[in-house]
Amino acid sequence: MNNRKWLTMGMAGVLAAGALAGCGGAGTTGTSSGEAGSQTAGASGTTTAGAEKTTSKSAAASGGSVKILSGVTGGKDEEEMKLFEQALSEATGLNVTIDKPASDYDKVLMQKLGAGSDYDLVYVTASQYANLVGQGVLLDITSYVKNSDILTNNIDPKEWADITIDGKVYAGFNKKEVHRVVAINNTLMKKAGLDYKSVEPTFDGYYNMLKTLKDASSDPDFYPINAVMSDAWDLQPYFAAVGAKEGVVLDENGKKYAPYAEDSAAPVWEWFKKLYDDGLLDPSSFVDKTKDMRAKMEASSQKTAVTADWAAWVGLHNTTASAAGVSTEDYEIVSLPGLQTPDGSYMLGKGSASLFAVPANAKNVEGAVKVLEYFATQEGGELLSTGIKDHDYTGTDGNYTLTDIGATHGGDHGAPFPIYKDYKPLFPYATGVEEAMSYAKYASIDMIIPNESDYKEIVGKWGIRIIKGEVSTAEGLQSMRSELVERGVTER
Amino acid sequence: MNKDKKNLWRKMKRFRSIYLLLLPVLIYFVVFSYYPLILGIVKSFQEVKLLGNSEFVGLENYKTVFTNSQYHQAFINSLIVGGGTFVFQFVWGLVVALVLNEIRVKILRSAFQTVTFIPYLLSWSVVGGLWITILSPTGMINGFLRLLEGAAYTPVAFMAEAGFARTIMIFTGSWKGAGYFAALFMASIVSIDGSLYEAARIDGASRIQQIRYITVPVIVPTMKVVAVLSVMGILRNFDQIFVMMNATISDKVKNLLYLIYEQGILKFNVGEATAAATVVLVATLLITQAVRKLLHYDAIYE
Amino acid sequence: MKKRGKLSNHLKGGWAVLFIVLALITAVTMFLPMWEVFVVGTSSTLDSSSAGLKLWWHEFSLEGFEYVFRVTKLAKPFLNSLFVTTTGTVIQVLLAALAGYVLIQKELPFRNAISSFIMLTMMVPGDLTLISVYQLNKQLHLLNSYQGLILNGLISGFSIMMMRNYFQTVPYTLEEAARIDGSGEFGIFARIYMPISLPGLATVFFMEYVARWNSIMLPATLVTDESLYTLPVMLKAMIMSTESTSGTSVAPDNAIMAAIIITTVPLLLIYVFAQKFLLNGISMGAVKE
Repeated sequence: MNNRKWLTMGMAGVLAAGALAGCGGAGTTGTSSGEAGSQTAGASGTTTAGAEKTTSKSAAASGGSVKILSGVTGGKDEEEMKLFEQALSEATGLNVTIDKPASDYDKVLMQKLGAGSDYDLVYVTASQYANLVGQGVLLDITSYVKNSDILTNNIDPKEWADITIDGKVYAGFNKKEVHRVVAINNTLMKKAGLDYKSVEPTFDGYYNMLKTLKDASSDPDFYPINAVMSDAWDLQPYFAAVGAKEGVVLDENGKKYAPYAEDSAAPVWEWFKKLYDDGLLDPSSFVDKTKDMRAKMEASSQKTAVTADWAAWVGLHNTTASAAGVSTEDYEIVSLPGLQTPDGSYMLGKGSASLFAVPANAKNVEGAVKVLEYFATQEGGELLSTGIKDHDYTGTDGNYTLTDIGATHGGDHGAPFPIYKDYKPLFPYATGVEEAMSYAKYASIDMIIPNESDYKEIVGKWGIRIIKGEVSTAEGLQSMRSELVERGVTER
Repeated sequence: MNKDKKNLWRKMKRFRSIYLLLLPVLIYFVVFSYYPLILGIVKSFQEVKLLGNSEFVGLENYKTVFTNSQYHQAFINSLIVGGGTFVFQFVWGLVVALVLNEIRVKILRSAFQTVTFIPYLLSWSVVGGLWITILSPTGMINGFLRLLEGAAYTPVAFMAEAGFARTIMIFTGSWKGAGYFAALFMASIVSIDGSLYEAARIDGASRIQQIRYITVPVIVPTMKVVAVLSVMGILRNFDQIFVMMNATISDKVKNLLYLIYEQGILKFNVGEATAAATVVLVATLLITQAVRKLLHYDAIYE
Repeated sequence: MKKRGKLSNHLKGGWAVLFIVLALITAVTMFLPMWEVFVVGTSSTLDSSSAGLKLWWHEFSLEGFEYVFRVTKLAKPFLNSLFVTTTGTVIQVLLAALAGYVLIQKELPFRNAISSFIMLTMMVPGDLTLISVYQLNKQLHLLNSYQGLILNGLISGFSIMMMRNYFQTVPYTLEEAARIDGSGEFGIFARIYMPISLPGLATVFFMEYVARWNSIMLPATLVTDESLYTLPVMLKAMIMSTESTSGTSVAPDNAIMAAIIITTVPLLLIYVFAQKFLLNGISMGAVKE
């Protein structure tokens, strides 16, 4: 018996040590568990998650404080985040604090909202936005937007239309979404004796370009075209040929349908099938993620010559190469707007919005709107893109230089392209971006749907089966449509 | 009857300090496991709205889970891939442990064990990406096949073939965990008294016989424990599928946890997600109980 | 007894060949990922971005490491990881050993019920408790604190069950002998069970150490204060913070692999240390004498 007491004491000792080491004297496991038992399971606890983080910022905060939960926006480390909060606080007359989770943002967002956390602004993607609006988690800020000169005048009304759900707006913008263009390796084009500007924007024109590229290469692993087929998300420049918009759209009766799954889209799928059969489409396209596609495009591999990617990536490919000392003679990426629509225009896909939404329990809505307003100005745009003055860059009046820190941050503190419609960047764009941005007029945003992942999976799956010849085009499209309806993505 | 009760009471009294010893552990589990678990299960009976206002909807979420064909398919996929991985990984781990025990050169043995453990140290995003590259049309496997079949060989995009999908998942899954199992087995093997082998050798037993009649019986209890503990994980494989799945093979490998992730995290459909997760818990419980009975697990401690 | 210099002790002919082939195949495939991580981590930025397997250097370079050290400060996160992981794992293994020892008491009433109670905690899918674990931590004021990082997952069913199993293999005769010599319960636990189960103890310690060291999800959800970041969280944050939806700047592959090398090396060092106990458990004879 006595011996057992010894054991118990040993155990107690270990626990006490643990409590001391772990809790720093703040409380032992025993009292902690007591608390847990006595507290209710209700979601609306009075204590707040972020309350621990009460580093007082600029003292003069007349407009109260604003708490932001951010996914990508803000400083890149603790120190810079402090400067960022300070800059934002000074500019808005608020006391702004930003929480930026290190990773797993989706999970953190859900946990914080699930536990009733009190943020005034939360970062959400378009799909999350739609879902949260559906649950009544977000606050309708339509009247605030209407009454704000900055928000109405500085932002393209089309942008607002994109995030209006049933006539109401629940969020402001984090950044301007750019579009995806057809990126082309101009060096390989020249080698094959082609001029990218005179490529005919038709099925045959592109087919011949790809065929010539393939024939000019001696590398058996070289495939002239790659696209992230399994997501069916980078195909808009090609589906333009039949005027089909990617994602889901509404028909004349207000019913949702997916143009890629219509029989009218068959020629494009069949064109891809031909590219695959003739060894022009990289068979890895069925598996590759965006990252793999880009890797093949990079100067160091050049295993493909034509991809569809963000306008900014045209520049990034060039920048990476030139940073490594590769001259534009040896590697240059240029861009095109893709195939021509039946009525002679082009269609490009635009990123689905990334937004700052106001949760229903926000304490300082005026403050939150003030932050949104600041994001929509030239100065706000400078902060969100290039960064903090005298930290990321120095200089005045058009005469700016990036600091070493600023250079590593690549002009992106949440919004590489700010939402302000007349925004003038402090530094010139990377090579090739200007041209890619010039196609912006052809770009339009996809309809915000809550089940984007289902759409990608279903269209990607059946599209690939059609291309591989496992099913006939008609059959594949039929199955695509019925599975889309079955999973609640479309309605016909 | 009454006497039994009295006996039990006396026994419990005798062990009261032992119970006391366990108390902190049990309290810990109540607070950090059971309390969140119960809150989670409560949510499965609600239409959960974040920021409050959740409403009880009875069995509505469970109805959705049980009637939706996506969940059926995901359950089948979970069982096949999870179960297959478990069996294959178990055998592989055992072989590695036995091989390890045969290596007498210390440095080789140590190097071999370290190497087999490496995949376990790295995350799925690293090793999953590696296998995708190896299996790609321009990857190693196709390169090897081209060597065998000559220039006319057309490369196969293995990861885009629904027919290979489950095999690949099972193989790569057990490949990643085999060293981990091996290490658990090794901890038992090294405690085998060396004189046993010596005696058997003198009696003329071959090395294979020694393995069969000395090594294996000693680690049978550990095998049972490892089996029971890892069977609990067969329905909970998320990271691998998240990294390695693509649209062409999703029908074959998308599992319950992935579906729960889609519902719960991507779509904020917490009620349905927790209901599905509760089903996973119950299924795991049933499977584990079955394996426990099958292996006479509790008899180890009699 | 040990025959040094021989590859395998008494295996002959076909069996030896089979074992060697199996060992080689396993070893080679399992060595690949670490090797690739190492090669890419020490390649130039341009080379690391190329497609396909990279099993040899095109150009050796430490650009990736330079990038990591330029954009993040790793000293504090490293110390955080070391403190949180070591404290947590040491306490966990000790508690698991005690609890495991309790559970091998043959006569203990409700023993199976208790072990079922513990085992059930291992079956819960994380998604079921995602929100409620966060709520709990909020209620206990464990968010953004070392306490929270240590207490969550402090006791694991896995460790307890494994320790119980390793203790079970200790021959009863040893315990009996010690009892006759007048050892008390604690003495038996400390002097007989713990030393004999050292390989098991080291194994469980290492497994839990790895799991804790590598865990990202939990610390990332419990901690938003950067001064509390652990090493993997800090490095993940570095990779993530350069990622935005329309992707303009992304940490280059060599930096990502360098980050993986930086997090894995401490584990490998600990493994080498733990291996002393893993491979050469104290032989039973030593305890008997």
